[in-house]
Amino acid sequence: MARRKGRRYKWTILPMVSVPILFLVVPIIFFQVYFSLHQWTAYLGEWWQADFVGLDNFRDVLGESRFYLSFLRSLIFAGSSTVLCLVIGFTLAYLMRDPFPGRSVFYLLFITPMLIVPVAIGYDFEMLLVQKGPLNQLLSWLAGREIQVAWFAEAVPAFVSIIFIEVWNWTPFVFILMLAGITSMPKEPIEAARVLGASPVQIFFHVQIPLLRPVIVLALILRFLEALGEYPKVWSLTRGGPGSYTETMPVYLFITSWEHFNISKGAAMSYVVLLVVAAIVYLCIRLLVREKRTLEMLYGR
Amino acid sequence: MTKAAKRRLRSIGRYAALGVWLAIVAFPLLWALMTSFKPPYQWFTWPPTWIANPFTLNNYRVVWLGELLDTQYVQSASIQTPFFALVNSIIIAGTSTLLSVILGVLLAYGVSRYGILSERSLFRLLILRMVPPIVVAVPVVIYYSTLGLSDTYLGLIIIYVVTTLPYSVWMTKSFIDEVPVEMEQSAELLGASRLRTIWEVVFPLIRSGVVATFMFILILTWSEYLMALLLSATNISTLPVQLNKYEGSTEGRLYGWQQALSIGVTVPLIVIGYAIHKHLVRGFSFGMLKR
Amino acid sequence: MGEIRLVKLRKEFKGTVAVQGTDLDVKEGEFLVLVGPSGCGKTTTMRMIAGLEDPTSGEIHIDGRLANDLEPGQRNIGMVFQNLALFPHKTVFENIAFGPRMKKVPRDEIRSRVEQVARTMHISHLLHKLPAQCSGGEAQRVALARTLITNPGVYLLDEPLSNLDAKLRKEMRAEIDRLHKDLRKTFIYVTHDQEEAMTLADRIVVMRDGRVEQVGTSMEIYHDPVNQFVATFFGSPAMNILDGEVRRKERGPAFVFSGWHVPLKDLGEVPDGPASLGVRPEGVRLEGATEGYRARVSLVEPLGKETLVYLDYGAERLMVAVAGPTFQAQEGEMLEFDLGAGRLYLFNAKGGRIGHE
Repeated sequence: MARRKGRRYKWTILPMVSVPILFLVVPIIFFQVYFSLHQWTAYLGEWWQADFVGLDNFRDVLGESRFYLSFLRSLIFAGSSTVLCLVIGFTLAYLMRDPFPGRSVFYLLFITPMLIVPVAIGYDFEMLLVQKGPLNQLLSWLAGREIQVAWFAEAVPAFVSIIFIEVWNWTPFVFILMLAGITSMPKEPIEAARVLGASPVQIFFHVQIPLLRPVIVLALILRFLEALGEYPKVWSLTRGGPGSYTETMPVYLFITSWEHFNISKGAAMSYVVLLVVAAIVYLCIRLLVREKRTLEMLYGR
Repeated sequence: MTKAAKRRLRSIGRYAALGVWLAIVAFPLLWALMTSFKPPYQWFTWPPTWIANPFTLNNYRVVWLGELLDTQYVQSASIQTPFFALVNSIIIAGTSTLLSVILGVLLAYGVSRYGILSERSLFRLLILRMVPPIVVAVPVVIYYSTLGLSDTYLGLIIIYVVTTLPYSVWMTKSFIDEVPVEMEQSAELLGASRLRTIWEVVFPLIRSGVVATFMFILILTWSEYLMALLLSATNISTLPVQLNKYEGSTEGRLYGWQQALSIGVTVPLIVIGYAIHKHLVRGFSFGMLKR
Repeated sequence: MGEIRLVKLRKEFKGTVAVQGTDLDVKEGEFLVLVGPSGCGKTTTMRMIAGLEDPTSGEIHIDGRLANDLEPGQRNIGMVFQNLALFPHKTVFENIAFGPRMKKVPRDEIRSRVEQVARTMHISHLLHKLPAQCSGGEAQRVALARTLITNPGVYLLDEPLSNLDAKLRKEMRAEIDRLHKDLRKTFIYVTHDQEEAMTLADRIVVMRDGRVEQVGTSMEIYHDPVNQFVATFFGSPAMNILDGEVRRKERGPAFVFSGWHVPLKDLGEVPDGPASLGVRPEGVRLEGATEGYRARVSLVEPLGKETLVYLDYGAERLMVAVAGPTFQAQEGEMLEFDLGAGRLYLFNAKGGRIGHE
């Protein structure tokens, strides 16, 4: 009886949900493939009149060092910001695991950056990071000497800036996950470890971290993938500059497609990136499913 | 050292460490807020103006009420009020969130009670979210312009519904899972129909959860930038996209006005975020946390 | 080794007093049970001994040393938690090996010690399994093994059997008893089950609302309870409490209840007034009754080795009597019973024990 109901439900709901999804996904895949294999210049005609050029677009993309560099920058950007988010977020969560006066105030303030529209964050920091701007003045005051870093005009500071802003924006995300994980950890194994003579450091590495592994993995995966595709902040802050030192993959993609109007190349580039990201996503999903199994094994259902 | 002294030291250390990050978090926020109250000649000075003096509400009046103020400092009078974008944001974010939540609840109920999707499939749903939008931006734009969906409400709404569906399914599922199946079963044994059971037994118990999910997704759709930018032109425009418009030809970035808009766009999100802060983690823990 | 002394130990939590100024001496090698209803402070007391909870005031002495400032791992104790607290991500072997590993014992020695302890606890076949894959009883043994391997001077067991089903509980109870006799170390055991307390303990500490009501052996507690609470807590079915009055009359001092009249021998200083009489069910004799009390049968429960008879004597509560296995009676039947067969206990209105009976 239940199975029959279930089947009926399934076949009513799934189509309802699948239709919009497929409506979007299938044509996109089609267009992605189409455009990467055709050369289309917008003003010369409609897209279905574009010339078939085989793998030429891909050759363009894959032979270009600018593309590889942008992807590399994205990897470094995503990797370092994710790691920093994890370290800071975890530390904050660990410090806040026990109740103390003012804890909820800290919590609310700490989650705030995540609630702010990213492009607004970009413009906010633009104000702060101007060479003759408040951040430099503050740093000068703190250090006791003149600090006038050109946060936009120089390569390394610019890259550091975008990483920092990403960390500023998304540490709350990791923080919330870590705090929830830490506070939902059962207390008894930790107490048992104390009675068995383990030092706080030993308890941390042998008991607490292993119990938190599923959440940590989740935070890393979600953050890394999102950081790979981060666009609004980098764009509003540096537009990829100076030169192309902060030109991450999304920025270069955007420039190719919408500033140079090279749709075909943009499509081919998107396609390559999509394949790489899809591979990463596939691995990540398998990892998540495995972590879920671990979690169930640890705690029972 | 005694235990009590150790504890005091630890407490001070904790406040100090947290205080550092608090300062880092608060500094940009306070600066943005302060700038929104600064008159134009203080927007970009050296040394920077830390306190708005005189404190003025003009920026808000210009941006939100459309008044022509401070024209002696700023020539760009072509800034339109964001009301148009505000209405659009409300319509687009509101509708897409509503649809996303409804579909999410329906799907989540099916998964929770009937297992209509395997766990693996549920995780696969996350693909919709994990793929960076920039990567599919090109085909989406062309596809939409072919279909005539560019620059329409429907086009953007469809995208938002599809991309937030993973969150709404997972989040409502976690709430539905907390209602014991036995409650529904006993209601049915007492003669209630399926629909009545759902309405009178299940729904009241998950109501606050559904509201929290709604708010969470609302935050996501409200602040989305890339797709809104690419798919809006004259007919529609959302608030985040409007932030780009605040650049004067001669004066550079119109910080005061921009921040006045920024604050106005952000405050509702912060309020919503604070209201549901206890439930935030459910939105993106995807089953990795013990309940 | 293994002596514990608590001096005026007190624990307050935000407004409530969990443990009130308790003094206790635990002798080396004894099996001490802390027993009482939920919230009486027994677990809190144990946790303070363990060092997992800091006392608000008072002293804890372990092995003659003041232990208040010692970390749990430095107190030479072992603890088994109510929900076992096994490390879910570690195998049984790794769980047991944890203690020695933290003390940097060399790997070979760890291995041999773990195997030895596993043999003692009959879990050698489980060493490579995870806690989630073990049954309740098996997991219980792993928890014991984990403590055993560290060879502490004192074993603390916090309601270790409450998560097991009835049959398993009896088995594990016997195991714990055997373990204690083999090790001859001090065991401090917390439970809310009075039967467990009676069977396992050398001495029992009865607690209520943070206060120690009585300390004594099982026999002392059972036959000489210091107040009504202790009297009714122990014994199943519970002692009958008959509400009435003490009255000195012409015929001599007596306890009057529901129209009945129980002559009392040695009243001493007890004043007239409201009081309660305590009679254990086994002290209410139904067969061959001569004293003349009568009541109506309300319910008969044959249990096999004995029969419980519930009597309605005119008050709100029913009196419970224990009769032989072949005893039979009809509901509604009027029966005669004796009260003088066993001991009688007299309690004042506040539940304190009065008189000598």
